[in-house]
Amino acid sequence: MLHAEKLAKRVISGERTLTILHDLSLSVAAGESVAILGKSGAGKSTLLGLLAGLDTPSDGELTLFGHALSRLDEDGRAALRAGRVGFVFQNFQLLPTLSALENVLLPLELSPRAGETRTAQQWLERVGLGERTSHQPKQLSGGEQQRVAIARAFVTDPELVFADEPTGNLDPDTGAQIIDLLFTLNKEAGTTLILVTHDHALARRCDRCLRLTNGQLVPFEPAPANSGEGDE
Amino acid sequence: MSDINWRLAARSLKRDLRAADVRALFVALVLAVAASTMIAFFLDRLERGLERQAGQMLGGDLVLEQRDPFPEELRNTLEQAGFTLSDQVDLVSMISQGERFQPASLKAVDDVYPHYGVSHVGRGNGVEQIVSGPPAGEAWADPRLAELIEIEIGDRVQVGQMELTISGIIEREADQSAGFGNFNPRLMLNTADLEATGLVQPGSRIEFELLAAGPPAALEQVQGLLAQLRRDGVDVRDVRVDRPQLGNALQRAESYLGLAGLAAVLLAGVAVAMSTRRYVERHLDTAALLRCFGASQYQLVTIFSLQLIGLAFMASLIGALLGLVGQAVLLWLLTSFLPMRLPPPGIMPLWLGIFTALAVLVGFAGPMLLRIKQVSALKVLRRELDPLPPAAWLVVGWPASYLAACCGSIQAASL
Repeated sequence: MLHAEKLAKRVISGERTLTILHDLSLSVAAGESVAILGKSGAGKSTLLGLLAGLDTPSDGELTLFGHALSRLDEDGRAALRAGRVGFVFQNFQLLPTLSALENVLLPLELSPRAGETRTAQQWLERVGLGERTSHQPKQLSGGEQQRVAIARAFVTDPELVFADEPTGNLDPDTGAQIIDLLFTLNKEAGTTLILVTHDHALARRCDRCLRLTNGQLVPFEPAPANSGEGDE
Repeated sequence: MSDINWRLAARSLKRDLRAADVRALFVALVLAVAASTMIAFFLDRLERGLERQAGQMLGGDLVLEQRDPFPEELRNTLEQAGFTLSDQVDLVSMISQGERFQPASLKAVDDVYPHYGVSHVGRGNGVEQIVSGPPAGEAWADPRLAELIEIEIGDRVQVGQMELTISGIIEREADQSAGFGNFNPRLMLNTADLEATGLVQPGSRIEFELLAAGPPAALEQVQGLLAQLRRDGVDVRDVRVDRPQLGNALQRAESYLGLAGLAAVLLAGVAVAMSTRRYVERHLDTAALLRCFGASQYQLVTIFSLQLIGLAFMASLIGALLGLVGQAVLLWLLTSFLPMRLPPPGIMPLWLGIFTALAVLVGFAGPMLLRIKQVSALKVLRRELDPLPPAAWLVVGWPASYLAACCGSIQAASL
């Protein structure tokens, strides 16, 4: 599904070159769920951007769905994602002038299929928002907005879903509901899930946990539920 | 172009009409189009009205005059170019009624006369508006001639070797062309009677006129022929050339109204630029999301361009309708200052409306739209990753070039 070999990412800040990731290798099998934890500024979002083909590494090789991303330009990488990759973001990334239904429809409109409106409606029903399809994001709570975003991520039946701090902007109770929803849908759809989080409770739900530290990924066992250590 | 892009652009436009910036953009475009089409409609009608009036004064769109009859070959050429021809003969001769003699300016017209306008002719029981000349065997006299030789309707006058019956007193001729004979009072007769009068003799002081009516394209087509005729000594009067006073007035009106229209378009352009800026800022997130979901750079540019072109077309139609209403109001306000009734509005200003909307959009919004093309998909994770604003030279230089081009065209039109 996804294979990264000796990835590195360096950025130039003023006269200094900052190394965010180096010698990073990762393999994710189809249907697997992987949590990537790390402190703020550790480079989690940078890594997510690289793995999803939104950004290019300074060094190393990345293969997604059997295609070497280094051989594809930005449009080629976008075409590879179309309909096969879903995203859930910390700040939901819903378009404010669109209704819940229209937001869910958006990825379907780029790779149209028959009955797309019905499909989008069904996904909103699955996330518990069947009665709120015409509501705009500002009329929805944070939890409801993230439900819309989850419906949007799954609506194309993707093979791979990337989630960037999906509970980061939610209160603990709402966050727990969103986690349940995300993993339930993921299990039902058999999707591969790569999520970046601070939240140990969320990480514990994944098949595998990795910690990003000093630019590299290391296996990690999140704190048990009753240990009192909830966040990175 | 893919159906997906068309469909996505149409859907996006429909959804976007809820947004304040798109509504502001739409209103600004409508105002730009309304202002420019209102003035264009008005000027178009004024120009065509003035041209028609000039044609009426000349007696045709093209008038040829010489001392000899015009050859058949020339007539054929003009007819093939699209002109309708009318013959007219002017001469000065003595006319009499009983013992009273008076030199008169004779004007013989054929059955096609007049190309434009109507004659106002007294028939004894009031003035009639007549779209023809006198029939064969009859003549119309002007009031001065009637007074000088004391004639009334029904009297007979001697013209050369023929007697004609006075059937009308000319209050106003359909065409008001002034010839050498206009110092003398007018007598109008039919060309069919001319030969019988015996006045057309070798050496007679006669002017043969060929009056041609036709579209501007026909006039354009025979310009080479007219130049040759001028060189051959034929007096050629062209409706576009032989109306210097009307032409200058029109050009001044065009310049002033053109400047007013340009000012309105510029103000609307500033509003377009401001609302486009908000539109683009809002759509950077949309563009980044679409990139995430698999849209190519080309697809993004196509979708947003189609969306804005759609908006411009809708604004053009509504703006043109408003312009049409506006010019009617303008006309109503200026009715008392206009020397004539204007013809109905033409279709050309509508095209100008569409062109204006697109030009304002490209001129004022174009540079900012480039940002959408440059947006990175990574912006969904790092919101601060906005594409760089367009270069200052592009933001200022592009509309400035547009403004200079508009001013240049107005200046050229006024020369």
